[in-house]
Amino acid sequence: MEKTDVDILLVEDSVADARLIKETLLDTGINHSLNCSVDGEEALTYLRQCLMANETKIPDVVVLDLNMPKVNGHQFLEQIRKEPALESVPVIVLTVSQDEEDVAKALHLGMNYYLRKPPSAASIGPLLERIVDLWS
Amino acid sequence: MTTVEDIDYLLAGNPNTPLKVLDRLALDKHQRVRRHVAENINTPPAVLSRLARDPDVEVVSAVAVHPAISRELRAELALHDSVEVRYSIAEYPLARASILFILVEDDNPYVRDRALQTIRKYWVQDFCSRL
Repeated sequence: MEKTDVDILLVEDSVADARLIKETLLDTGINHSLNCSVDGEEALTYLRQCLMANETKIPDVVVLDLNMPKVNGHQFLEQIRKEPALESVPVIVLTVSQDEEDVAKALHLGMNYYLRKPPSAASIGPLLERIVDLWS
Repeated sequence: MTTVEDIDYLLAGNPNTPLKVLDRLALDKHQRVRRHVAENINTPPAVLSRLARDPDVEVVSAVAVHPAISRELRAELALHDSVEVRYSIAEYPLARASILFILVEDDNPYVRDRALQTIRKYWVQDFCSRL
């Protein structure tokens, strides 16, 4: 079965977690390109640059950590949902947080899906493919 | 292992899911996915109208108590063949009194009784509190 090509923006401040997620994405077998931002501010800047540069495609999906310096995951969600060109970009929240309020707040701010860290290839793989399929 | 059905079910119920995605999920082969679309507060009236013709009564029941459907569609569903659909409207607190009065004369005694209870609870009490 041919796998979908997926452009992913990973927003993650932890180098170790980012490496683990990269390895998991490789395990999914999905053809993908991955851009990484270390916090919400850098991710917002990247997305706005994508919008301004016509040749750069907006990522198909954002994989977002919640607890980050500068602009955290909640603030990032709040910002992109205010921008018409970015409001429908699907966002998967990925966090170790056990706090249901964290997840509820992310849902309120516009998250599309939630996975607990560390995600398995069996959970994130089908999710990425399905989101790209449904959003296309 | 996460299945596509599980993913679709969660997306169908998420208020942040874009309308075009809800529109597609409303055609899903799995009943629980379509029911979740019918329960989603952001599902637009056009999609709800389509789901009102769904072969599954749980899906239609969810449409019947969705706040976004028109008065005309709710009145039409108050005459639905399924008791389950009519009962769901009979217990719906936001149903108009005119629709509840249709159900007070329903063939099914449970539907009739429930419609009467809803009228007493949400309409008579409200009316009396204004006197």
